[in-house]
Amino acid sequence: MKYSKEELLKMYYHLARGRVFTLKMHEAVIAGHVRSSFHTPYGQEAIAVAVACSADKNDWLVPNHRDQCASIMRVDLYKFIAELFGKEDGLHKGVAFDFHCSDLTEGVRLAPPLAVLGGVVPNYVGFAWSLKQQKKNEVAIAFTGDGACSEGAIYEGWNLAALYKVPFIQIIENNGWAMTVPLDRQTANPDIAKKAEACGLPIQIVDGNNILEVREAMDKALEMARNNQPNVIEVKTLRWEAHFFGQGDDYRDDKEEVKESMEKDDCLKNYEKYLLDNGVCTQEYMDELKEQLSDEIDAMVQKAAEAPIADPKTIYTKENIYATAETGGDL
Amino acid sequence: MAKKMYLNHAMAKATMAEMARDDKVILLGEDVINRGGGLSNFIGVPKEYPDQCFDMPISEMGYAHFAIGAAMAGHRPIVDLMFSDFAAVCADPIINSAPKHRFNSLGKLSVPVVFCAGNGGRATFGGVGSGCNHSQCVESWFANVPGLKIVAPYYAGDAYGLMRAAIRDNDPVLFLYHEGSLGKKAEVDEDSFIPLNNAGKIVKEGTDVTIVAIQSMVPVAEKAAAKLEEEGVSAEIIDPRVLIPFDEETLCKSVEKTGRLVIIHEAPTRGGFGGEIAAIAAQKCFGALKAPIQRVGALNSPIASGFLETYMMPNEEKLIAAVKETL
Repeated sequence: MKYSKEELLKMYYHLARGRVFTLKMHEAVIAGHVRSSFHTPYGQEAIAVAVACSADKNDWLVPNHRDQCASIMRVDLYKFIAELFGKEDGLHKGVAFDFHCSDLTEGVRLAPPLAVLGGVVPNYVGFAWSLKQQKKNEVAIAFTGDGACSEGAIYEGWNLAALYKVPFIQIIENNGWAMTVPLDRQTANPDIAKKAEACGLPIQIVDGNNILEVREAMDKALEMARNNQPNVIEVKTLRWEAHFFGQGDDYRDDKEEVKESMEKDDCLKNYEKYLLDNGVCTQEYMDELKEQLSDEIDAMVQKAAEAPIADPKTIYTKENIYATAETGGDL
Repeated sequence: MAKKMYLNHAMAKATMAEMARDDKVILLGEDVINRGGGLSNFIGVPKEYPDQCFDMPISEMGYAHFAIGAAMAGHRPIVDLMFSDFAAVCADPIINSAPKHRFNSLGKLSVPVVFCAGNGGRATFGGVGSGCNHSQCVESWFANVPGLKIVAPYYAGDAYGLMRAAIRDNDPVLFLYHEGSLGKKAEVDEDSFIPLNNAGKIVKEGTDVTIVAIQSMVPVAEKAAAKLEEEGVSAEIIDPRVLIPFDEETLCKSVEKTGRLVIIHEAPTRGGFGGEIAAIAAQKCFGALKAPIQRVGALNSPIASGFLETYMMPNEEKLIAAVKETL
């Protein structure tokens, strides 16, 4: 085995936690607690977890709409849930929801994604360029989906990354759907990373339902990026839910596809089988862990549901909007 | 000591003064290395500060985002966009990204980027007219975006001091210089630094009517005021120099004195920034107004190329007629 028992169990902990969190958020959406659209990572949790486990704590993670499982490895889970619930206890007091979340402090280093798709790539190519100029040995890691890769900004970003040789990695989570548009109606080339390759970036294409395959690719990607070789990993997976949780599946022609994937290609079940087959841990260990996580998150959900909403007067201040407030004008 | 210089030399000198203070100040855009920017508006900067200047492909959206990322990581980029019309292809970084990070992080992040672009047409002001995609005035496209500051000077001396303030400001600033003034000389005081707040400037004092003139319309207003003077009408001219934040106090003081307000800008009248200025006056000093506010702008039409640009632009005659409407 390439990874130590400790490392394998760490990945399992975060994967199991990610899945439990995801399912609890589905319940929270139904209960009316979640204050915006929850772009669920259901079935794709292994990708964010593998990437975040591979990254150094000094590297910068830029999650996309569907990478909450990486975010919650870096920020306090209760505060993250409270943010989704729009509460004062939230990471940003309910201002940012999940797709504007950030915490740039040392030891956290979660950088804000851009909610309008595509721009995140050139933005973090520039960010990585600045890190390189400042001779910091740090890497910027941005996630996108397949849908975002039809945005022109991404191509401009790939070009700039290759030109300026910056420590940048893009993870493309190709889950086969851009909202309700299937991949074959988005692009004539199903291997999206090949478009990045045409811009001069090395690529890897891996199976997103196999956490260890993603992890190994990410380890390689980081080595390249630390030597100022920007690169792209395309991770093939399948979106199990709708674009955001609760939209229904009326747009899917093949309703069996998801059922089959859940049975045969569940990233969590796949990894559990691997751990059992290799004697890393027992079924009881895994069941107990999931139960414990479930209890922990239930308590957080309850606390967040009961937490107050921030006083808007403390949110809409000149100082929160402007760094040089005296030249900001009236609100 | 003030000396006469062209607008592009003034902008370049302001940039170099700030680059000397802080090596995190960088310039990026098209034609930067060979020409000091697409319109040579940063002439000489790459020669003096080669390590702080970077060429970019024709990729405004990409490098506007790139600059925001660099700003988030500690740099202070100036993004040269050449013509302000091109800001449309990077509206997403300018509108949706740069001005939003501070708020979303509740005051933890700041994005000190200057987006610099040449505003307006040139045929009317002695240059070439490049038509509907190279000659627009875009300030009102961006005026409705909280988090963004908008600087719009005309004279080289103002551009110098405001450029220094824009670079030192910790928030995103859209710096629109005017293409028509690139080849014009004006007094520049290299010690000057003009804060972005309360930046309204009384260019000429008067008692009968207030004319607010944006960018290229300042010299037009000055000529019109001279003619009006001959007819016994004393016009006061305000050059706001900065549109966001707008200097309401200077406007209201003047209107309270004159009782009349005419606003002139090169952008089309409909939806132009003049509407905002008129609304401020109507709200804050309505009681002082003796006549309806007049707005003078370009026709609500795309701009034709070459000689035909002049016809649709506001001019002295249109301004004088508007002033007479208020008397």
